[in-house]
Amino acid sequence: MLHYTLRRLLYLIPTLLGITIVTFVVVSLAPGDPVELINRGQMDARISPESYRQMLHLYGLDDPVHVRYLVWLKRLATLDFGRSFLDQRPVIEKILERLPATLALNAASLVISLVFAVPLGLYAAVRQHSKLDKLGGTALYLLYSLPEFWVALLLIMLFGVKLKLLPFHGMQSLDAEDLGFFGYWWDRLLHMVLPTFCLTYGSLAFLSRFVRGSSLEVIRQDYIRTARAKGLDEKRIVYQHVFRNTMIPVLTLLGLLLPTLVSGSIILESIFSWPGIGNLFFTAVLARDYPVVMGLSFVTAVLILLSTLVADLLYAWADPRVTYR
Amino acid sequence: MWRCLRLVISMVALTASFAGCGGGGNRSEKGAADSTGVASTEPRSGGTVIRRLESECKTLNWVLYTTQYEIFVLRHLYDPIVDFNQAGEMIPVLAAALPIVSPDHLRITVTLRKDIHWQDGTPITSRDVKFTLDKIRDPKIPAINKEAYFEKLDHLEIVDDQTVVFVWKEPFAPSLYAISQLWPIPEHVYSQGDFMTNPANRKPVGSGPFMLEEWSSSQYIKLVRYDGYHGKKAYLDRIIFKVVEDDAVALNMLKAGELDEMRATQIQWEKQTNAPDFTARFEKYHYYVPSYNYISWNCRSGWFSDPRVRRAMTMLFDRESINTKMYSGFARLVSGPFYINSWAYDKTVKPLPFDPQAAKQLFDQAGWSDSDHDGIRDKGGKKFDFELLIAGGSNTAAQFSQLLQEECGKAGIRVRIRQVEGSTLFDRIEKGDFDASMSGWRLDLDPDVFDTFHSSMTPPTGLNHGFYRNPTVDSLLVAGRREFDQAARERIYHQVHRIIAEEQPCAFINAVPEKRPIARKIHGVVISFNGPYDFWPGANYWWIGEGDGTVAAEH
Repeated sequence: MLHYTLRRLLYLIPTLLGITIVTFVVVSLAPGDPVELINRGQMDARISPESYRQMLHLYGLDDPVHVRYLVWLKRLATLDFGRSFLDQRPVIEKILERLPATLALNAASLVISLVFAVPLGLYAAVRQHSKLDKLGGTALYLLYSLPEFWVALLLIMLFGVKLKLLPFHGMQSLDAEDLGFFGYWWDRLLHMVLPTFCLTYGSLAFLSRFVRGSSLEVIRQDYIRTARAKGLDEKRIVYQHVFRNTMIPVLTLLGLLLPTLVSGSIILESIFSWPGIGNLFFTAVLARDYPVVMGLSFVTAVLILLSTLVADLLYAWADPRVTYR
Repeated sequence: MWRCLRLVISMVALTASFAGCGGGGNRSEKGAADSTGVASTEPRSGGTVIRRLESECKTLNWVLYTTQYEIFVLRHLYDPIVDFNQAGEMIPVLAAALPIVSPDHLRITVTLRKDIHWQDGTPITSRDVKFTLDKIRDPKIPAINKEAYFEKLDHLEIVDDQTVVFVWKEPFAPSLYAISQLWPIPEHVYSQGDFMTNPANRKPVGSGPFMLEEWSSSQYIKLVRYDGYHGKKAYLDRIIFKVVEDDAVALNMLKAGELDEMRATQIQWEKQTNAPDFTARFEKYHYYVPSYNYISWNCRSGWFSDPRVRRAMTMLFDRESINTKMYSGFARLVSGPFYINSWAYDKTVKPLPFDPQAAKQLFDQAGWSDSDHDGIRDKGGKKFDFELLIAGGSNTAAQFSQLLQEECGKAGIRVRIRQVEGSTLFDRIEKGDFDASMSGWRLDLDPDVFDTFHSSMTPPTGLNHGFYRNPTVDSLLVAGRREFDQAARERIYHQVHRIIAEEQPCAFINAVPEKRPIARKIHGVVISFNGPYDFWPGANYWWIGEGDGTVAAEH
């Protein structure tokens, strides 16, 4: 097991190198460069060819792509992501500033969808073909196909504008600091309600269908039939045998879902003015802010690779039939 | 000189749809002309105004800003040396009087007031002016959008603490405008440490009537009144800028009382802001800003070298029906390359009419006829079949160009519409690599259009992207930037306007107004020749009337 983990960790290095090379090249190939985009289409002035070259040099963009990549890599070796072209702030500072917002939203959403999806899915599987199963299935498919931005706007109009029950801009009120400890966190919680709901309903639908499918598979297994034949209590069958075996594929899926914790939703973050990673990434791509784009891609790539590894390890831990050597 | 213009895909921002834009909306809005804010009672202090930022500010360093949103904030934090008042006349702000131009027009003397100081109490002196200019011209500092204004500046002389002399390489009329674009930043703050990463870029020490209270990245920027201000104290306690990127969300926030003003889209303006409870709370302002949309013809190409052909092309373009269908009559047709509210714009020059018959005659005269009877005009073996570049993702541009395509088709001309991504579009326009292209100009307040129409300014040197060449225009443009007397300059630019309207190097399409609902509780709103913000004092002296709900619904 240890041997396997180490080997997998070593594999990470070439994989990461590959990912960063591809990202770097693709980003550099996109038309336009930061000097142009920062200054044009935004504000005044075209640039004289001479000052344009000066600016390229200033950002270190006058070298060929492979040289720039190596420079970037060398910096990365010392964990230096460089500075944003847009505001000259360290990339890592910008990422860390946005991370808590995205993390809070996605963690809440993941937990909530799990908490609801697993019982829903199990129930639907156990009572397959029941009215509730059919009704629930239809409802969930409906939810799954509703576009987030549309739902978000409807909810904003209803709860934010008409009923004035829930805030829909940012993470906290302007006067949040004056509300006292309890008031402050209550305010933050209220701000999370709408974005969390919009982020969750889709994955809730998807997850619960997944759990249902996985439990249906388990229910048809011989050992369940054996358990029933032994005369085991139905509750015990469901909780002990079905549930635990259902969770094995769910664990794998969870491993793949973990990286989404830090990858923000571009649309929802922009609608709710949520100061998260998605927003940062989108702006950076539009402005060809290479250091930020690369920094974020790198962090995301590392997380994805690590969580696939974790998922694989969890899999072995949960399912004694699987061993790694 | 690359100072004046900014190429924009203005049509991207102004998406509207043909369907169901039949107008109808009530017209209680005030136009730019008659709206000078009703100050029924005496201004009073207190209250907060919440404004919208459509995107995050990157810096609050005056030398480094690049977006209009940063200017929104900076205009409260800093004072200019000189600026323009609501009528568009230059007035001194930090300066004690208007700049004095020497008889040879080479030396412009600026005298600062003695009683001015930064928000930390340090006096503002001529050294701050020089420091700011040095930073703008420093090749290691990306301030290209301001640097270009001072390309013809030779050097700056400090006479004493209050007096500086701008010495120019040649007489250059836009130099006065250039000085209005120089807003000093404090030397004693910014000379410490690295300029680009200076903490003051996010926590500025300004010279204006408001100071920064708090900046929460991509959330909001809070400004608070600076009571030690050297000028007339502001009334509002606070101005808060909230970052709201999504237009639909912004309108909801406006309705929920979480914003006091925003820029409305055409559809919002026509369909979503006419309910009585909305118009009771918000005044709907529309006003023009220095910009226009146009199609540039590449005069080097075989098709568009003849002015008659270019005129005919414009006459095939039904700009008036675009105006009624897409802007419910709000846009104005333009006939020339100047800001419609500028003294340089000759209002007696009328836009070319939509007249397909006359256009066909012009094509015939120019020798373009359908000699091989395939339905497409040709001349000397060359078919009239060209590519029109437009911005991808812009509905408006697509609809504009389809309308043109249809009319051209009837007249025996084939238009191939090609949508390209924004930066590719700009790239090709700037290289002059197109047959025809659709975009917009955001203009400077100084009317000098040397960069866009002088024959020496063709790509890759300048902004004359269509390779337009006319010796008379050339000499007028040179004369125009050397003439310091406004009346004489006006005559020169009116001539330029007339010739360019005659020769149509571009098809001038329209100027589209900005539309902005502003809460009625706010008094002192002035719509200047350049909109409600970009003039002196802009929104600095807004105030909130008694009983107008100084406590905004805050979430």
